This record gives sequence, structure tokens and C-alpha cells, in this order.
Amino acid sequence: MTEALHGDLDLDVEGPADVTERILAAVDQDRWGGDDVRDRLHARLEEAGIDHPTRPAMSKLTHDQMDLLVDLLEGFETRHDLLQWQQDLVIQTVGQLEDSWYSRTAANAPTVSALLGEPWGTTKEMPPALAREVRRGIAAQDLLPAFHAGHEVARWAAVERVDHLDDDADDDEIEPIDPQAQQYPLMRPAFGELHGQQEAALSDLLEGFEAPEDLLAWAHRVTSASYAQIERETVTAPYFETPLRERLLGTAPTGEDRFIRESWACEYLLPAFNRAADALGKRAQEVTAARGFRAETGDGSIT
Amino acid sequence: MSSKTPPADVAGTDDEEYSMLEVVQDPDLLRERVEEVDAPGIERTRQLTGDERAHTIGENLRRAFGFRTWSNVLEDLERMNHPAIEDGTHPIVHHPRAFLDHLIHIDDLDKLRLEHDDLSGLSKPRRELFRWLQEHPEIVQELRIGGTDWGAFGPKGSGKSTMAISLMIRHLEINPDAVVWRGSPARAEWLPLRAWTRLCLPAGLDVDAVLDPPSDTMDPIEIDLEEMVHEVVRYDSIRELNHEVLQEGMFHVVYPDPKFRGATRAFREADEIQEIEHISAWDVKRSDEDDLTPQDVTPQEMWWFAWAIDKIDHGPPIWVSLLADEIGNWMPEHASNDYHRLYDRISAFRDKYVDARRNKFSVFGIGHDPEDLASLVRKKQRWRITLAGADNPTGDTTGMGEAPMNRNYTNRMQLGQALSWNSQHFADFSWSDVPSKFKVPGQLHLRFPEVQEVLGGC
Repeated sequence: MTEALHGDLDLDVEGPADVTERILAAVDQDRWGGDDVRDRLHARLEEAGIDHPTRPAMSKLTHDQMDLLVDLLEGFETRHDLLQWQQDLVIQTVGQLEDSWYSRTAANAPTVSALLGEPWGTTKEMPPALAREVRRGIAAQDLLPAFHAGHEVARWAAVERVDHLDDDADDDEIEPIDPQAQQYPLMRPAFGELHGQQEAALSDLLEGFEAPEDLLAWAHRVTSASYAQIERETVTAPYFETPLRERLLGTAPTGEDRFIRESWACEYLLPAFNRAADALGKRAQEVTAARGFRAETGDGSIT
Repeated sequence: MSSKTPPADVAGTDDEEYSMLEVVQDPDLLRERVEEVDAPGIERTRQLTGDERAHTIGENLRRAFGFRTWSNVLEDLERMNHPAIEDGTHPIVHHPRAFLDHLIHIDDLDKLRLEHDDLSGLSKPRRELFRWLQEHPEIVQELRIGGTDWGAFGPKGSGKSTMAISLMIRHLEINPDAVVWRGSPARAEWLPLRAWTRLCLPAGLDVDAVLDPPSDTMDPIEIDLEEMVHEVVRYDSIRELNHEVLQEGMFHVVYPDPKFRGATRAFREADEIQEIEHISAWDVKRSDEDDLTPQDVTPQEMWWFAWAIDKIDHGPPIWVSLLADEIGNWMPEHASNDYHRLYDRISAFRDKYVDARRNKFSVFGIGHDPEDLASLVRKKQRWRITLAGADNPTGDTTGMGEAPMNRNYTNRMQLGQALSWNSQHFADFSWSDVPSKFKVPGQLHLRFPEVQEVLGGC
């Protein structure tokens, strides 16, 4: 999916081709961004009639995907953030990207540089304007098609809810479902569970383990977090390959340790997570479950 | 679900590498903390860009302080289960007169907007508030037109300033108010809002700003005000301040003019009150032959009477909300005319007070005890807030008629909770603490050194 992108990246960064330069010049750099961009985009989704929809699960998915799109366009602080974002992406695309996309995106030096907005690995230079263009390229080339594919998978199972529009309903005050207040991705608890497990497994790996026993217990958790879609040999490899094991032990990683942990995550963990989300695809049940933030208002909090 | 917040290991920015204990022991760190906090995204607000689609200062502040949007708060208050009331709304919503009435500022035009469903031109949070109000016509009925007021009282450490900050942020979010915080030389409880502050200082006078660190062993630290606040603006006279300087939707901290420019004129040109003069240090210096002495110099806090009177009688038709910290010091009970005709000044202000409402002027005061505040003014205040640590009255009160509470509610409250009430209804409310990065340890003192120099030369 990233052929075109790689085409871009093969450009000599010192002197981009005229076309790229013209595109970059035409973009008003100040029109995008800001800490209110999310609010604006979500508000625009609401204004577009997505709020209180008849299929709130799809609307929830749209809103969540919008956040991921903004994350990508804004770029990432660290490769660690990038991996966490990828894990979220696995869920919100219902595993519809290619497995190899995850390793490519988090390991290819020019791509990572563009995502971080600064030189990384063998890439020695990354002008901000080019980085932005590449991030937009990834959004257009990979992300939006994957969102599309995610919708295609999820749409048939989305429950239609029309009671709040029914004048004849017995109970006259049926509240419409607020998609943005829903707790689970796609309003499906199974996805929430998978997301939680994957999030924890990824952060445990990046943080490191105190003892080899912790590493083994983690390997077992990964099996569940990947819906057994990780190969049996892969999940135990970090234990048996002694040099790798050394890199994963210790909670005060050096820069090199971190690099290796992150690389292992994008090479093996995320593709397995991706297959898990794909496998879960159409099977998960939908429920309404609001996020539990209301407790705080018990005393009439005005903040 | 998205990864909006960076993980802990990358969130550690420079200023979080030091603990507060380290900060208060190092003058450079302390100065950095005071001067270098910024307001993320303020440059893209509607007030600074003029772009009506952009978010407002109020929204920007609300977000930086981690508050939910006001419409979310209302929604949650509505869905609350209250043990005593069947329909399950919080008293704030159930008794709009107790709290919402003084918070939500509307004028005649706004009532028409609501009736005719024309919300164009309003900021997003105000538009959402109005939409909510349209669904609750019974609440709109209870909202009075024009400026409001309250006196909030509680002992030291009861969270008065934090409450005031929370409420002022809400005013900026949902109302078009120009908020004015009464600056005084020794107290600066507004500091958590410094990155959003338009600091209004009298023109042509040097200002000394020093921070008194909490540690006794450390010398006071000079502070660069330009660095610390969003903007320093100078005003030439009271009228200019009201007409040219104050802006709706912005947060201002105003320090009185020791030269009292335009102050006597404010009294002279106001209807139905007698003129009261103001004497500055410069007047004393000039009057070699008269018998003015340094003791005749009008105390600076008395400038506020002139300012408020001029806003009410000759101010522009914008919403202005004054937050007066230590209101009992400004308008004390048992004020005497022997002291710079203080009683007459309070009385003049009281006489103008009835017009404040119509002129979109709101006065909010905080203090230790209602008894400290001149009863002339107390009788005019329509709402009162009793904070945790003070007992709410249950019977007759001065100015508020008979209190609607039949027992003591506030004695069981904790820090960050209070009761807002008028003569008919009451509602409890609470607020969260100021994010620690905006807090400033120590006290800021702001003085005009020339005043002392001039007096020294007399």
C-alpha cells in the first residue's frame, strides 16, 4: 500500500522535485492544527448528522477513527507513541491493514522520520514541510482506505436503534444513544477487552521485565491479547534467544534496548494484534455502555 | 480510545523534572515557574485572531484547566440522582434561581434570540448553553436579565480563590463578560490565570513586581510582568479603561491608578450622587501652600468606587464582571467619614448599584465573613455563597431576608464545596483544584515606587 509513499521518499531530500515543492508551497501551513482541531472535527461530524444516529456503533467508529487521523497528521513525539497509536489503529480498522504495514511504518527510516518530524535512523534530514506531506500521504494512501475497509467489515453487524425516534413508543422518554459517550470501540465489549489486553501487553514489553519469569508470564498474556494469532514459536522466541532476552530484561532500558524492544513490537507483536482484530471482526456483540465518568458529579461539580 | 495523552515517560517536560520543593528553594526555578507558564493555543482564539469560527479565550482556559464543557456539566447535573427529589436533577438545575441565575448572563436581546431560535454569532459554548435553555423554557423564565452579584464567604483556606477562578473561567466560557479581577498591592490570587491575563496598569508609572518566596531564607525575586502575563496594557483614565481597554471575553487584572485620573470626574458626572474628591501623592506635592499632608492621600482601593460608578453611568454597553477579593477590606462595615469619606463613597456606590444590573455590570465579592462587608452593600447583594468551614445561616439574615435553609449544610462540607443561595432557594456545588503547573508558591507584590518617592519629597 505504500508504493507511492516510497516513491516520495526516494526523492533527494536536499532538492525535492518541483511538483512536491509546489504542493508544499500551496498549503497554508497555519490553517491546520491547534489544540482545538479535534473539537472542530468532532463538531463537524456532529453537524453532518452523525450525532444521535440510527447506527451509533458506526458513528462511534467514525469519531474514534477521526482521532487517529488527527494523531497521524500531527505527527508523533517518539517511536513509542507511534507504536501505541498503531495498536489503537489495529482496533479501529478492525485489522484491515496488511500485517506488514505495521512493521514497515515503524521501521523504515524515512517513514519514521516523517512521522516523528525529525531525523531518525539512517535518515539525516527531515524538513518539517516534507514530513507533513509524507504524513498526509500515509493518511491518503493507507489510513483512509483502511478506515473504509473497517467500515465495510463492521457495518453489517451494527445494530439499528430507532426507538428514540418512535413517537408511538410506550416509554415516551427514550434517550438517543450518544456515540461519543460510548465506552467500547465499535460499541463492542469484545473489542474493548482486546484493546485493553493489547495495550497492556505492548506497554509491558516496551517497559521491560524484571525477571525472566515475568517475561514468560507476559508471553502467555500475549497469546490471549493476540487471540492466539501469534505463532507459537514467535511468542517464546524472546525467551529462548538469549541476546534478545537480555534486551527485554531490566526496567531502565538504554537507547539501544529501547530500539530493539520497539523493533520487536512492530515486527511481531503488532502484526499478530492486527490478525486478532481481523479474526474478531464480525463476531463481536454490540451493547451500549456509557463511559463511567459520572460519579464525580455526585456533589454538583461545576468543573 | 486514541492515544491523545503521551505515556508518562515522554510527558516529563523540563518543568516537571523538578519537584515543587526544589522549585521553592531555587530563585531561578521559581522565577521560571512564574514567568514561563504559557496558555497553549491562546494565539488562535477568536479574541486574538478576530476569526468568529475560532474557539474563545474562555474555552481555551476551560480546556487548559481540565474542566468539562459547561454543556456536559449541565447534562450530568440533569441526570443526577438526588435522594430527596424524584426527577433526579441536581439542585443546581432543579432550583435555577440558586445558582444558574447568577452564573448565566443574558440580556433582552438574548431572550429574543432564545424565543426566535436565532443563535448566530454566539460562541460555541454559549450556543450550546442556549440550545439547552431552549429545551428548558421553565429555567429561562427564572433567569433575570442583566448583571448579577454574589458575596462568597468562608474562612482562610476554604478554597475561596480557587472557587472564584473556577467561576470566572465559566463566566468567560459561557458569557460574553469582560472579567475584571481587583488587583491589590499585596494579594494576587489571580496568578494561576496569569498566562491569560491582560494586566491593566495606570499609564506613565513604573511598577515594581516582586515575588515573596515561601522560604524565609530566600530574598524576594524580581518578576518581569511582561514575561509573566499574556499582555500588559496601560490606561490613561478610568473612562479610557472602560471604553478602550476592557474587552468582552477577556480576563483582566486591574491595578488602581495612584494618580486617580478621571476619578473625581466619575463622581461629578454621575447622576444623583454627590461629588467626592480624590487626592493623590502628586496633589500633596503640588500644594505647597495648602495644608495637604501625606495623610490626606486617598487610599488606592478607593479608586474602585470611582471606576465602578463610571462603568455604571458612563461605561460602554459591554458585560463587565468585577471579582473583588477581600471585599470587606474595600467596603468595610463600620466605615467612617473621618477616614477619607469612606462611608459616603460606599453609600454613593450603593446608590448606583441599582443601575448596575441594567448596565450589564456584575460585582462578585469574596471575604472571610459577611459581617465584615458594609451592610449598605450586603443588603443589595442578591446571592450569597457559603463555603465549607463557615456555617450557613438558617434564620434571618442582613440583606437576604430569611435564609431558605432549615439546617446547617455547610458544616459537613469538605474543601472545594459550597452552598449558593438566595432568599428562596439553595444549591450545593463543588469545584476541582487548580492544576499544579499554574500554581505559584509565594506572594506577588506589585507597587508603584514613585508614589513613595513623591511623598518622600513632600
